[in-house]
Parts: sequence; C-alpha cells; structure tokens
Amino acid sequence: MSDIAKDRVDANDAEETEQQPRRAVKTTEIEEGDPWNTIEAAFLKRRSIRRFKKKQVPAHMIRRILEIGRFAPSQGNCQPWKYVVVRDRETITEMENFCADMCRKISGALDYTAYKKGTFARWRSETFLKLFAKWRPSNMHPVPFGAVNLIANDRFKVFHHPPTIIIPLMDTRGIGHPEIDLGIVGTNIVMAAHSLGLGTCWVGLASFLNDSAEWRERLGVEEPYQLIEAISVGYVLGKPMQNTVARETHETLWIEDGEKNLIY
Amino acid sequence: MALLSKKEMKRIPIVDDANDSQFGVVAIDLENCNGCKMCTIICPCDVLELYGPRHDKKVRIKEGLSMCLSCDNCHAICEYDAISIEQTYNFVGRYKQLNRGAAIQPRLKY
Ligand SMILES: Cc1cc2nc3c(=O)[nH]c(=O)nc-3n(C[C@H](O)[C@H](O)[C@H](O)COP(=O)(O)O)c2cc1C
Ligand code: SF4
Ligand code: SF4
Repeated sequence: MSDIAKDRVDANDAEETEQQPRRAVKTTEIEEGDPWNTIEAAFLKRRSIRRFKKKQVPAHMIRRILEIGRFAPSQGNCQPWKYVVVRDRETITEMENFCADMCRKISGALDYTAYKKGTFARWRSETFLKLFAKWRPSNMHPVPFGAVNLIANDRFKVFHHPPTIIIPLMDTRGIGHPEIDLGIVGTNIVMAAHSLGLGTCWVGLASFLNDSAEWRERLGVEEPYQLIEAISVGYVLGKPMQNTVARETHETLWIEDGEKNLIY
Repeated sequence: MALLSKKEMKRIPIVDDANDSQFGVVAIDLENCNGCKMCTIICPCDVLELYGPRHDKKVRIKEGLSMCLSCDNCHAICEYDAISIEQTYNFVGRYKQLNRGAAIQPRLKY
C-alpha cells in the first residue's frame, strides 16, 4: 500500500461499514395530481428552524447526518469539504457574541435608517454604504442588511442558540465552483436532519468567523479551507412546520417540438 | 442584451424609501387569529406583534420599518390559517426581482 493510501485508512474511525440500504427506489409512474410522496413532502415541509430545545442531540445522530453528507454529489467527485462540529455551549455563545459584535460594528457604520432623512449623519452613512456596495455589492442586499441591523439591535440572533453547529469548510481548490458542492453537502445534511425530526438553520452570517485570525485558529480553519456557512442543528421547539408555505414561481423556458414557451 | 442596465446594476436600494424597497406584506385574518403569539415568536424579521385586550389579542405588523423577507414561516406555524404572505419583497436597481410569478402554495396540477 502506498503511503498516500495508508494515510487515509489510518485516519478512519474504527466502525465504518454499514449494510446496504434495503432497496433502490423504483421508478414509479404517477398521474398529474397524485399526492406528494414522502421525500417530496419532506422537502416541502422543511423550514429554517430558529428556536431550539436546550437538550443536546446524541453524537451518533450527528455522525449519522454527516454520513449522509459524505455521499453528496460533487464536481469530478472532488468532495471539497471537511467538517467542524461544535457542541460546547460556551464556544457557541462566544461564536454568537463575536458575530453579533461584527454586526454591531457594521450596523454602526452603515445603518443609515438610524438617522432622520436630510441630516448630515444620514448622508454620511448612506455614502459609506454606497462605497461599501461598490466593493461588495452582493453583500448589500436589503435582506441581510436588515438582518445585520436587527442583530445589532438585539432583535435577532446569529446562530439561534442551537445545541450543535455543523460547519462544512470549503476546500477552495475544488473543481469549478466549490460553493455549489458545499451547498449540496449542506442540503444533504439539512434533509438528513429533517428526516430524523431535527431542525436546522443555515447561517451565512457565520462567515464573519472566517475573517478572524483567532476564530480560524480556534476552529482549525487553515488554507486552503474557508468557512463560508454554518448549519445550526437541534430539537425543534414548538410546531413551526405544520403548513407548507407559498413561494414565488420562476420563469421557465420550455423548449420542445421546435417550440419555445415560457411557463411559470 | 441585458435585463438590467449597467446603471441599474450599480444602484443599491435604500431600504426605508418606499420608492426603492418594498418588503413582504402578510395578510392577517382577524376572524381566525386567536392571538396565540406563535407567528411573532417565529418571525425572523421581528415584524409582527400582538395587540388588543388581554383575552382578545390579535396579531398585526409593527409600526415603522418592516423588513419582512416573505418567508411565510408565520403561515407554516399558524394552527388557525390566519396569516400568510400576500406580497413578496422587491427592490429597484440591482436587486429587482426578475422573471417571477406571484407566491403560491405547492402545486399538484398546473
Ligand atoms: C446559504 C444560506 C444562508 C443562510 N443564512 C441565514 C442566516 O445567516 N440567518 C438566518 O436566520 N437564516 C439564514 N438562511 C435561511 C433563509 O433565510 C431561509 O432559508 C429562507 O428565508 C427561506 O425560508 P425556509 O428555509 O424556512 O424555507 C440561510 C439560507 C441559506 C440557503
Ligand atoms: S400564529 Fe396564527 S393564530 Fe397565532 S397569533 Fe399568529 S396569526 Fe394569530
Ligand atoms: S413572511 Fe416571514 S418575515 Fe414576513 S412576517 Fe411572516 S415570518 Fe415574518
């Protein structure tokens, strides 16, 4: 066995193999209007969960969820991720405080809504915002801007105090667009957790941690890895997934039989 | 061809200017709402609040800037089918919504 191969085997935890899943899904013909199947319904009922019970999720359940992540598709099978799992209440609180502090700083400089229109202070912070937007326009969408301001004013949370946080780190050397692969591995994690009755919330604002040398050190984020997202996981408080939601339809260009049609 | 001009791509909407930014709006059915408070707890944008006398509370959108992101999580939690998204967010400039239809529930027939 080559050194490279041995390296990998040695790194594995003792228990590895599992029985095969019982049966592959058969293709089923369905009629228009047939009820949603279990998997479809799971996707439709999943919500971002921002209220968790204090109770910790057993480690084996988190491992089981990560196991589903491992089998996510990725470009060229490059699997450009590794995980950090945080389950210490104090560390989670410190992560929350750090990110909330970043929000307070950003909001302090950019939240023009804090000032009356027509005042100098208002003009100054709108100007700041416009400069900032030139540099990073995609961070200046009103929704995350609003979230940052709410967090700064203690009206919203960053991680929502979950018992466990899963952070898939992105290997920036991934093929093509490794962000896509991270999104897919995250979706596997989110849906696996959902299938076990757990709640999850993606936390894009966790990426503030990536800009801090101290947090990179504490969470073991080293080049070529980057922390771009986190996923909060825990037992769901209350019943936030009773009804499905309404969402916008999206234009779809349908090309068939030499014709092009727009459908929604 | 581009759906947005270069100028529009550079324009960042001002959030408290109604000409620039329209946030989500929820419709509340006051008949059905029993003031259980669940939607106010779940809302990620802190836009909902209860009002009214102690035994007949109802929910409403808070005064001031409401930054509802039209997630409909309030509808998902409501046991009384009393609240749901009526209008989704939209902006001028860079973040103008393109090629969308109105928000609707999952469809089985088209
Ligand atoms: C990549 C990504 C990052 C997100 N970041 C945050 C976040 O920082 N905070 C938060 O509360 N929700 C976050 N969300 C959750 C979205 O707000 C949520 O998915 C959206 O409002 C739709 O609601 P739903 O997940 O309940 O369907 C994120 C979602 C994704 C996919
Ligand atoms: S969850 Fe429904 S019933 Fe309860 S306060 Fe909100 S709208 Fe009213
Ligand atoms: S749609 Fe979402 S953001 Fe808007 S009021 Fe309902 S829960 Fe809050």
